[in-house]
Order: sequence, then structure tokens, then C-alpha cells
Amino acid sequence: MMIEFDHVIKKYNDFTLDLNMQIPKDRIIGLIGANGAGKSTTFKLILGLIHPDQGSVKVLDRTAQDLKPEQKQEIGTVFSDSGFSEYLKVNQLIPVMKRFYPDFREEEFAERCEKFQIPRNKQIRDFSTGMKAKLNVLLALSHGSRLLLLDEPTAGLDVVAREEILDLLREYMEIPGRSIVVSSHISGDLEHFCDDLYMIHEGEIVLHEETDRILEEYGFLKVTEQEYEALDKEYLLRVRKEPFGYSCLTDQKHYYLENYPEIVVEKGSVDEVITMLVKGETL
Amino acid sequence: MSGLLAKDMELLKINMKTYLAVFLIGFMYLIVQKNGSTFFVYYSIFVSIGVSVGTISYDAYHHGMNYLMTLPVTRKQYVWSKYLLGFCFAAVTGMAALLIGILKVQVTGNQEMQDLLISAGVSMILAGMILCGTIPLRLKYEAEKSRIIMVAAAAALFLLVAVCREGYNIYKKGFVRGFEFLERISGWQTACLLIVLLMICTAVSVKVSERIMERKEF
Repeated sequence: MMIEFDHVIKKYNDFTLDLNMQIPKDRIIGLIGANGAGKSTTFKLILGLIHPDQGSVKVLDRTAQDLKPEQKQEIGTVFSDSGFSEYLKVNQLIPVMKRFYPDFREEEFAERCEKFQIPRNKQIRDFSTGMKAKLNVLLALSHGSRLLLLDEPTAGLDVVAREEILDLLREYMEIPGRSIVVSSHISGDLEHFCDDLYMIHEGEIVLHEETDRILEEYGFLKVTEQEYEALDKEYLLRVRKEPFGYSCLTDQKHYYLENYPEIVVEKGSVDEVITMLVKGETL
Repeated sequence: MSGLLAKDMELLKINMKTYLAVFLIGFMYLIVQKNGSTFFVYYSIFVSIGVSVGTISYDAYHHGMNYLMTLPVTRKQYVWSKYLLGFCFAAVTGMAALLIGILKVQVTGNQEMQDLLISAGVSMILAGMILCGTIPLRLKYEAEKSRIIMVAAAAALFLLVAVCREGYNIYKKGFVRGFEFLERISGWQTACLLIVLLMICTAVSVKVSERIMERKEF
């Protein structure tokens, strides 16, 4: 396992994060949730920046808080709101990165900076939000890490830049034995990129599923009140009252398609599934 | 840890012009004043403390510490890098200022060389003591708060000295007996005593800073 959360609890004044999660090799894991759901806290626990109140977090077979510099060299990190001092220039970061990471690939990094039009002789504070985001990802990819932790890496990026970054990450995953944990509050970013999705809501995992299964098996039944009464409710996850009757979320779409051919079954996007999971009623 | 020091050196380079301008003010005082060498050495060393400790604030801007602690360093190494930078920068700056001061004394002959050397030594010890107080404070609190605490600590120290002085006047004989040993020790022995005191302070300060960093959540 790359990362293991064993019954981890982290409490703040009015917020509790409660996680049990395993992240294996060769997987891209997406963390989805609204702002304040607990995504950044999850990353901070993985990196040992904060200490769990209960349970333990293991990263690369070591307790997160005891990670040695050698293990940290195998981790690339991106935070949307943090990085090297913004008073520095990219050219100044190169000798610093060389000192931190013996495997820092200077030429590749310089080529990518050119490709993504990142100025090397300008202070980072003068960069646009998109440039900063790209630079952070390029730095994380520059030293041959085998685990990437990306907290909102595409925040502030336009569609083209976002796709370019996702392409870089796909290229990174071509080498076996690597994993990525990536968070976003825009699930569309992760829908076609991640193997697994974890949905975090108010500090708890409300959904863990393979992305393909969400897209293939999850669906919305649009039913009238009479149809709803006659429906087998065993495979319904959430229900919401609608003007026409009920909208029901299921993770067994094909069961209803086969057994209730008269009812409307719609394919839901990840965003719609999440909204229903959060706002719908449990049966 | 070399990565952290490399980063700090790059940060120092950014404001080099400002620092040089500040040093120039001291240098002008050195030229103009008859006995300016002592002031110049003190001034340079204390400016260097501000500069090196200031890198902690640079690290903290824009949640920078979150990112720094994800790099291949331990929290202890971060602490050590700050002490190393602070002491080395003060030593290098102090030596450079002392050499310039000596040159001035040689050229003008206005000041006793021995006085200058003693002043330089005392200022280095004092600078070390200040670093021992400032670094843990800066690690624990943000820049503004740590400055307030430092000023409060200095005020408390002055108050303590004033109380001791009053106490000395009242219990003169007792005090004199207590400090009689000072009259018997030579200048070199005093210097060694101060160096040992500084080493103890540094060891305690490093331990306190390590503890602050270990407990800190980012």
C-alpha cells in the first residue's frame, strides 16, 4: 500500500475528520468534496503536517509523522495555496531543488517550463494563478517521485491548461509502481482521470467507488408517486422529492432497466451523484 | 539541510541591495565618527541577526511552511538550519566589520585596538544570546507577535537589572562577597565563561525550538 488511514480521527473546534482509507500502487485516486469538507486536512495528515487525534496514517510503510528525508524524496506535493517563497524566481529554485532532490531532472524541468511558458527570470509573485499552478505541478514532477499528492492542482487553470496538466500526469503514470492522490471541488476534472473516487462530506467518506462503476452503474430513476410505491427499493441509495414525483439514486441501474422497462433511467454525472448523496434522503 | 540553506541564501540575495544600503549607513557613521569602529561592529552584527531571522518570516508567508515541510527535510533540520544561518551570518558579518574597523583604527589611530577587539567579542556573545531568544520566538509566533514578546522580554530584563541595582545598594556587602570571584579571574577566563554560557544558552534554545517545531501543526 502507498497510503493507509487506519481509523483516523482529527478534531478541530467544530469539525471532525473521520477516515479509513487504503491507497494502493498504480492507481489514481480522486478526493472530491466541497470547500471545507476535509480534503486539505487529509493531505496534511498524509504528509505529517498535522497529527491525528486517533488512529494512524502510514505512507510508504512508515508513520506519516516519522517520514525521513529519503522517503519524502519519493513524494511530490502540490498545494493550491502554498509553495516556495513567492519572492524567488524559477532560476533561483533550480539550485535549491538540486540540493533537495539528488534526482532532480534539470533539463526536463527547463524544457517543460519553456513548453508551458513559465518565465524563469521573474518573481513567482508576479505570475498569474495559472502559471503558479503549472509551476507547482512541474516542480512536483521534476524529481522522479513515486507518489504524487495534489491538492487542487488545477485550481485557477483554464480548460486548455487543465488538460495539459492532466496529460502530464497521465504520462507520469505510465511508469509502474506510481500513484497519484488528487483533490478537486470540481468533480468534472477528475471524472475521466481517476481510477477511484472518494467523496468526502463534512469530514466523512460518503462514497468510495471506482470511477467507471459510477459512470456505468450509477443512475437516476425518475418516477411518479405510483411508480415509486411499486418500486423495489433495495438498490436505492438516496431519494429526493421532485415536482413530478421522485428522483432516486441507484448503484444498480441495469437491475431497474431490466425489471422496470417503463420507468425513465438517466445516467448521472459524478457531480449529480455527489449532489444526490449529500442532499438526498436515505431510505 | 543543504537545500534549506541554499533556499535561504537565495532569499538573502533578493534583498541584498537593501541590506547593503543599511550597512552603508553604518559605514558612513564609521567614517564620520572619531570612535566609530565599535559602533560599526555592533551595528553590522545586529543588522545581520535581523536579516537571518527574517528568513523565517519569508518561509511563513502564504502558508509557505506547509510546503517547506513536505520537502525532504525534518523539522529538526529546519531548526538547525536557522541556527546555522544565524550564527554563521553574524560571524561572517562581524568579522568583515571588525576588519574594516581595524583598518580605520590603523589609519586614524583614534582608538585602542584592544577596546575594539573586546567590543567585537562582547557583541558576538550578545548577538548569540539574542539569536537564542529570537529564533524560538519567531518559530512559535508570527513576526509581529514575536517582536512584541521580544520587546516585553527586553523591558523585563531592564526591570530585573534595575531591581538588582537597588538590591545591591541595600545588601551591598552580601553582593560583594557573592561576586568577589570576578575580581580574581582574568580577561581570558571571563571570555571562556561567556562562551560556555553562550553554548549552554544555544543548546537550551535549540532544544526549545525543536520542541516547538515538533508540536507545531501546519
